[in-house]
Amino acid sequence: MLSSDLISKIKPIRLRAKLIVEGFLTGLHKSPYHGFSVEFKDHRSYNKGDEIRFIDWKVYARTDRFYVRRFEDETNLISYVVLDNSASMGYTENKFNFAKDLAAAIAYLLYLQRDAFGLVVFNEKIETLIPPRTSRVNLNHVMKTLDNLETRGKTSLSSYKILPEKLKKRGMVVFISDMLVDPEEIISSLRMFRYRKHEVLAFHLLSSEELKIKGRARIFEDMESGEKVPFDPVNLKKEYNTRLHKHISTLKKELRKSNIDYEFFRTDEPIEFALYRFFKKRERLL
Amino acid sequence: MSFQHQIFLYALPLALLPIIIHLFASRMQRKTPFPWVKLLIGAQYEGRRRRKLLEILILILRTLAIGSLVLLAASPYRGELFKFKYVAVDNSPSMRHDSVKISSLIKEARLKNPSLEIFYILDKPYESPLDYDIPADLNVLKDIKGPGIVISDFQVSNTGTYKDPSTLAVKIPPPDDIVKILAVRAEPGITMRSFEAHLKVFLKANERKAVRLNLYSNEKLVTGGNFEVSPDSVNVLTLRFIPTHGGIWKVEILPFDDLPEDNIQYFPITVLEKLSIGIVGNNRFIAKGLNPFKIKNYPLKVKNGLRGSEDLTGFDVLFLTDMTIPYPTLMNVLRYTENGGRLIIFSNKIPPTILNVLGISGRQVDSSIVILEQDTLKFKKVMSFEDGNVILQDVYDRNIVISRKFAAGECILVGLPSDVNESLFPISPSFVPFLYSLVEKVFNTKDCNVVVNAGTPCMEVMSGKEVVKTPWGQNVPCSLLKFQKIGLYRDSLDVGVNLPKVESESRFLSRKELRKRFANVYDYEGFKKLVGSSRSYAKIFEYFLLFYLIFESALLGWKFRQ
Repeated sequence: MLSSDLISKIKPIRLRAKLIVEGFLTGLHKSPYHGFSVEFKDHRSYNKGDEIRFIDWKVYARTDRFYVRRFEDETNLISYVVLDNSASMGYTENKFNFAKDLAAAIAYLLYLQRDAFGLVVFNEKIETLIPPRTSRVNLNHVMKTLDNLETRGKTSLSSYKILPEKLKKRGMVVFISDMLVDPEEIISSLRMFRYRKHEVLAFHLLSSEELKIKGRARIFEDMESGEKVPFDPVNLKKEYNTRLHKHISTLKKELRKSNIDYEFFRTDEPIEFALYRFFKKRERLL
Repeated sequence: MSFQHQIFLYALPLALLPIIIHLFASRMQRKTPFPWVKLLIGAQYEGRRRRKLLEILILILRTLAIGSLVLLAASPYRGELFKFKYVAVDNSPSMRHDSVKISSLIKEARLKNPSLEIFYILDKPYESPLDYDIPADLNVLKDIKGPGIVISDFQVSNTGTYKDPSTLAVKIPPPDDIVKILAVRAEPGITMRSFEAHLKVFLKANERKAVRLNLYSNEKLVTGGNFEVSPDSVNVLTLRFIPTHGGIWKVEILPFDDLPEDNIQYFPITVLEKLSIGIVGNNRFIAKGLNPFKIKNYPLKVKNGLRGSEDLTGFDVLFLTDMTIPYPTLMNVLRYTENGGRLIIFSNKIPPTILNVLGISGRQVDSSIVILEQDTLKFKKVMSFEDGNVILQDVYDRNIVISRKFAAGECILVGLPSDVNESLFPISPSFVPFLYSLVEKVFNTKDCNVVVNAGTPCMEVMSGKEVVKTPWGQNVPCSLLKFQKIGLYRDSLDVGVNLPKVESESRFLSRKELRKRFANVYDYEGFKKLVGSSRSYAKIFEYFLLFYLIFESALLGWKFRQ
């Protein structure tokens, strides 16, 4: 297995994701294709909007009616990777890279398992929405999108509210964000996914610089709102830590109360831990 | 509070530097991007009181620290001691009696003001009698800038032009052993002041607070009374002296309350029926232990301590034999003449200094002063006796009649015998008989006292049993009875006289003038008080700065741990 440091130096995100996932799967000692199936299941009558390529022409010849074939894989998991690319995610290079790697690794893992996966990138608006597919083309699309992704804009509640409506198919939502907004707003937004019967796995990412504020007194400027606050980390470190941990514990408590799996990660931790959490969740759902 | 280096006080506004830096620094802090400042705002709100308090405390301490540093540099103090830059200590033999006390006091002064420079005038061992007069050593002070303290008994030579206008002079009182002298001769010329002064010294030495004092004349009680004496003041003893010769006077000092009766002491005041003659001069032979009187095997004691502040008023006639006597001594001699004393000066050369002091301009002879120079000092020839008066011939061939009816302030200046060099006049073996002879002729008596004040020592020579031969063959009774010291006045003004000023005035100053001029002359006790009351505040600021450093270190350590 390659070390995390080495992997992080690999430029194409796809390759990076591949290495992460394969390393991860090797560590699992289990078949990566568990639950995978492309077996034919049954037919159903054709509806408008169904892809023509799935029409069973033999049945049509026999019955003179359009039926589309349904396969076992369609019953597999649909996953949405929802990635926050607001300016705050770019606080440190490591933080956003970690988020992107995590998203890419999950996508790759889903692709290998023939699960449908989509990608949603949002800040104050929904920047990118790639619908869930199992195809390789989709994977390429996701990877390319992630590769070119940059942080910008604010974290906006409006996008939180729109998102659940956009993700119509029920599935698993992997929410990756630093969640640096009011806890109430995040909680209410993520609950929206639950109302839509999505399974939600929330990855809360914070860099070590955020967790341990250091340095001399200076003016701190909000990366999203531009608000300026003079602050002395030396004198007020204790108060800051209290506040931050309160924020984290509120999120954890309230999200879990709403049956949302909440996982907190430091961006300097190995990404495999996060993958493992995801994998367990997926296993549970299948 | 005063400051030694006031110029540093201009740096006091620097104490505001921490406040200014604080105000500017808060505006000029660099900006750092942060993902979500709401967290910081909340934290700041929570810790605002503690943070503000700490900030204010640090600002106050830093301001005070800089202020303290500036004040420390300015050397704050209370009292006069810190105005002075040096202490010059007269280390001449006459000062040795008090050397331990003075040393401890100087040590204390130095401890309080470490910048005080201490040096000793005449730190070489005693070599010659001239050293007693610390002749030119005080001139050292002329080269020293700034105010200083001169500790001396001011038994100085008239070369001592040391006075700095800002210099504090400290006069050391005489040695304690003078209190043993209680014999006071009640004779014409003696002042009440001198008697009171003697009594004062005595009472202080015996630590008595109250006494009863009776005065007897020929064992007959004349007057008496109770006197309370406090350490700092002396009651005026109003005893009336009868200005006549004859009789034995006695002062009886009785314990007033707390002393046992057997401690009663009797002190005879002997009124001598003899003439008293004083010889004032710096005698090399006597000082070297060569006793001119030994020609007749007379014992002689030489002791230090008698200077210009000596009471000379008890002498009937005073001979001034040495023109290099210390200036204070000369002043004393002249005051003696003011009080009705009779003065005869012997000299072959009268130094201009003395002429100036005497008010003589050049060689103009004042009618009341006779100058007999070397060539005219042929006693047999120039001196004749008529009607009980001595007739001397002066350099202008004028006949000078020396009668017993001297007027106050009259002086006779007589030339030296030819066997001496310059103005240093040794009392030669032949001089004493001559003196007796002269006195005998002048005052028509053969029984007289001779007191020799050879600069430092004072001897009382009482005539009586022995006989010396005059140059002209006459036998004169003479004997040396005992050495005796006579007390000093604490308030005498013949100290620290600035000679050049006196010279320019061509006369000696009155007491009032002298007192005014030397208002900054303290006594030993005054100096002691000055040292005692002076205090440096530097320690307070040093301790504060130490505390501040500890505080800053602790703060730094705390920040480092954070």
